[in-house]
Amino acid sequence: MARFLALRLIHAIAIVFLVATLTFFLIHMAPGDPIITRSEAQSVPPEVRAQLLENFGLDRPLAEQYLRYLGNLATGDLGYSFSENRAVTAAIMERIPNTLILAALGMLLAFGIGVPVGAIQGWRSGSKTDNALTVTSLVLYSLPVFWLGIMLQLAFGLGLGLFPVSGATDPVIHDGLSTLGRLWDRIRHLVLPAATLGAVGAGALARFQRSATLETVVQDFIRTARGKGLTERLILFRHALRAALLPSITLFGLTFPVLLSGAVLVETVFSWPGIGRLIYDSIAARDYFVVTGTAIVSAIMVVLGNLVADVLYWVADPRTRPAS
Amino acid sequence: MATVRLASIFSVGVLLTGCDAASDCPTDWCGTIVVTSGAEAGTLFPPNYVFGVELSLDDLIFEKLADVGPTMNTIGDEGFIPGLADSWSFPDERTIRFTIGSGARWHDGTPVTAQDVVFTYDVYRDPIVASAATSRLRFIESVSAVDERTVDIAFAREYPEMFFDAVYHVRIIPQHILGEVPRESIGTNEFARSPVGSGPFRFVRWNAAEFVELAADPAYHRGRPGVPRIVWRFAAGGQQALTQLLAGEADVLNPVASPTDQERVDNALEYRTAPYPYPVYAYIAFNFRNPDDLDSPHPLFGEREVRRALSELVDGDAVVRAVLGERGFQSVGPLTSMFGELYASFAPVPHLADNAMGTLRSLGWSDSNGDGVLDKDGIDFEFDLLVPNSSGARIRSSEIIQEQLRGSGISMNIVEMEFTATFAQAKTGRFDAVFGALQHDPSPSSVTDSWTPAGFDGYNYGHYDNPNVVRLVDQAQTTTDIAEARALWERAFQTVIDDTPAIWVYVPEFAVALHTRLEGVSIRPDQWSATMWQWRVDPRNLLTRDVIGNN
Repeated sequence: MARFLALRLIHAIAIVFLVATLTFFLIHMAPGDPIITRSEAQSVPPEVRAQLLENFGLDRPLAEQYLRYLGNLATGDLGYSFSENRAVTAAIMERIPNTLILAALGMLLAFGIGVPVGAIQGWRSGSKTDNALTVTSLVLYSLPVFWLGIMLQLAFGLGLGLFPVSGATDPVIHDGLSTLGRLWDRIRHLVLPAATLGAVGAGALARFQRSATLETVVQDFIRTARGKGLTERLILFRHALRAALLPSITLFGLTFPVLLSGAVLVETVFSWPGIGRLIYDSIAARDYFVVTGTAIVSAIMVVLGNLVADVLYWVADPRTRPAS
Repeated sequence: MATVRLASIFSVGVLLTGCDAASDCPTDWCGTIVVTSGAEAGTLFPPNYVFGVELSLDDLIFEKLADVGPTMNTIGDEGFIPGLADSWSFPDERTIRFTIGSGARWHDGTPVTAQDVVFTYDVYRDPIVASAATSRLRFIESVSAVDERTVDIAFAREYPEMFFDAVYHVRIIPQHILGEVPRESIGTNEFARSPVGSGPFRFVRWNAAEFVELAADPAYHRGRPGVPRIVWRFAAGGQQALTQLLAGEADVLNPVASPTDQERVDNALEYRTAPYPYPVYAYIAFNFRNPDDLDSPHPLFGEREVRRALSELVDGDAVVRAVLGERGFQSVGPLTSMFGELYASFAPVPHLADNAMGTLRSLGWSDSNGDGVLDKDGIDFEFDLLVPNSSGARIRSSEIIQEQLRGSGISMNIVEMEFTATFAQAKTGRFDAVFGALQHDPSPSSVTDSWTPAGFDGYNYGHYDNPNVVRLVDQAQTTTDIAEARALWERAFQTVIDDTPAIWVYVPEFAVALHTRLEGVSIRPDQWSATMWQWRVDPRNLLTRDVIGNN
C-alpha cells in the first residue's frame, strides 16, 4: 500500500509539473499580454507600458520567466495576479471553497439521481419506465450546460422569482441575518447552479449505470439469487446494484474534472465566485500566473479525485486492493 | 398572484425577519444602492486604475481637488466644481493655488493636508508607478505646499487646459499611509484592495468576484451622502449583470448598451433607463502600412481617394438604423457630442455610391475578369477586417457593411477574434482594417492618443500620420487664446476627417438602468457615476435590503 501511494505521489508531481509547463507556455503563446489587455481600456503610453512590463518581470526572456516561475513554484509561490493585484495563492484560496461546495453538491445530485435511475432502467429494460427515463436522461445528457443554466435562471429566477440568479450569497442582507438565515441564504444561492451541474451529470451517469446494470442482471449470481427466492428489490439493491456500481465508481474520479470544466460555464452563468470564473476571467485578462496557478490546482483536484475513486473501488471490490 | 406568493415563501426576508418587501426606515436616513457591473475592479489604487468600474469606485472613495461640472468645459476653470479643494486662485498665469476644505478628513480620522496633495502628484508623476495619467501631467513643473491647507501647482507654461490637466485625472491619496511604501511596490501594496480615502464613502470590504461594500461618511465635508451604503456587485459579464438587475438583485447597471437590452429594462416594472450621450465612437481603422512589409504603404489604403471612396460606399445611416435603431447616431469623426460646439460643426460622411465608384474607376479599379470583385494590376480589391467577437454591435455592423461593399465589387472578409487577440494583432501592424471603439475624455487632446504618431503604441493601430494634424493639435494645446484654441481644434479634427484614416461608423446612445425608487439621479457623460454619492432612495418606497444590514 505504501509503495502504491508513493507511486501515486510521484505520478501526481509529474502531472502537476507537466500541467504547469504546458499551461505556462500555452498562455504565453496566446496573442496579447496583460498590459495590452489593460491598455485597451485606456491609453497607456509606451514608457508606462515598458515600466509595467519591467515591474511584472514580463520584459525578461520567456525561458528566464519560466525558470523563475518554477523556482517560485517549488517554494509554494504561484506568482502575482496582474488583474487582481495580489498573490495568486490568495486569489485561489478565496475561491476554492465556493467551487468545492458547488462541485460536491453537483456530484451528489448527479450520483444521487443518475445511479438509481440508471439502475432502475437496466433492471426494467424495455419497459415504459425505461423508455421514458431513457428519453429524459438523453435530453439532460445532450443539453449544453450553459444553456440549461440560463433556462433555469430565466424560469426559476426571473420568471417565478424562487431563487437568486447570481452570487454565492446576498451581499446586501447576508450579514444582517441570523445564523439560520445565513445558511438558508447560502442554500438558496446554491440551488440553481448545483441543479444545473447535477442535472447534466445525472443524465450521463444514468446512461452509464443503465448499461452496467444490463450487463449485471444476466450474470449467474443474479440467477442464483432469484433461485434462492429473494425479492426483486433485494436482488436489485443488494446484489445487482453493488456489482454494477463498480464502473460508476470509476467514473467518480473521471467526473470530477468534467464537473470542474462544467463549473467554468456554470460559475460564469451564475456569477458564482469560484475557481471556474477565475479561470475564465484570467484567460481573458492574460493573467499568466493565475491561469497557470488555477491549472495546477485543477490538476491536483483531479489527481485527488482519482485517488478517491481508487479507494472507493477497493471498498466496493476488495479484490482490486493492492497487496499490502 | 400565485407566483408572488410562492416567491415570498422562498424569500429570506419573509422567512427570517418577518419583513415584507417594503419596510419603514427606522431613522431619517436609509437605503442601500446596489450597483452591478459586468466586470470586476482589479485595483482601487487610483494612480493605476484601468477600467471604468475602478474609476467609479475610486470617485466614491477618493476626491479630486476639483472636477469638471455639468457643462463639461475643459478650457480655463469655468464650470469646474469644488472637490477636496474648497476654492482656488491664480497667483500668476502659470500657477493654480488650491485651498483644501477645512473639514476634509481621511476615513481613519486624519486631516487631509497640502502635503498629501504634494505626495499624490509626486506618486502619479513617478515613472516607476506607471500611472497612465502621467502624460496628462507632463506640463506640471512643481507642486508645493504653501501651508497646511494650501497647495500650489505650477506649470512650465500657460495653456487653455491647464486647470483641467491639474485636476481631472488625479485623486488625492494619503501620505501618512503610503509615504513609507517603496514606490516600486506602491501599486501592489494591500492599500490597492483596502483603500483609505477622503471621499463621501469609506471602503468596508471586498469579496473577490462578488462585491465591494462602501459605507457613507456622514461627516463628509461636502455634505452627507444620499444613502448610508453602496454595494457594488461584480457579475461575470454584461448579460449576467443585466439578469441580476432584472431579477431585482441590483438597482443600477451601466452601461446598458444594446437597444434590445434597454427595452427589456424599460419593460420591467420597477426599472427605467436614463439614456446619455456615451463618449464612444466606433470606427473601422485602415492600416496605412503593408501588413507584409511594414516599411511600405498598404496596397489598398495607402491612397486617400480609395479610403474616401470606401467611406462613401458605406450607407452609415442604414447601418446605424439596423444595428442601434433610435439609440445611436452615425459618427462624424473621432469625436462625440461631449465636445459640444466643436462636435456640432461636423457632419457625417455622405453616402455617395456613384461618386465613390467613379473615383475608384478613375484610379484604375474595374472588374476586368468578371468575377464580381474589382481589380487593378492583377490585385483584387479584397481585405480582412478584424472584429472583436465581444461586440455584437460591431459584428452586425460589419456584416451590413460587408454586404454594402460586396454590391460595389469590394470583398471584405470579416475575421472575428477574441477581444485581446484582436488588438494584439492590430498592434503588430499585420492587418488590413480593424473595427475599434474608443471612449474619450472631455478634452479634445485625447485625439493625440489615437490619430497622431503619439498613439502608434496606443490606439493609432493603422499608423495614421499627418504632420499638419500634429502641428494644429500642438498649437491648440499651447495657445492662450481660447477662441483661437477652439478654431485650431476644429481645423485639426477636420483634417483628420478629410484624410479618412477610418470609416466613422456609429456613436451609441447608452443608458444607465435605474431602480425607480432612486431619486436625485443625474448622469455626467464622461463619468456616469460622478454624482452617485448624492443619489437617494425614496423613503416611501424602501425594499427589505434598504433596511436589513443598514442599522
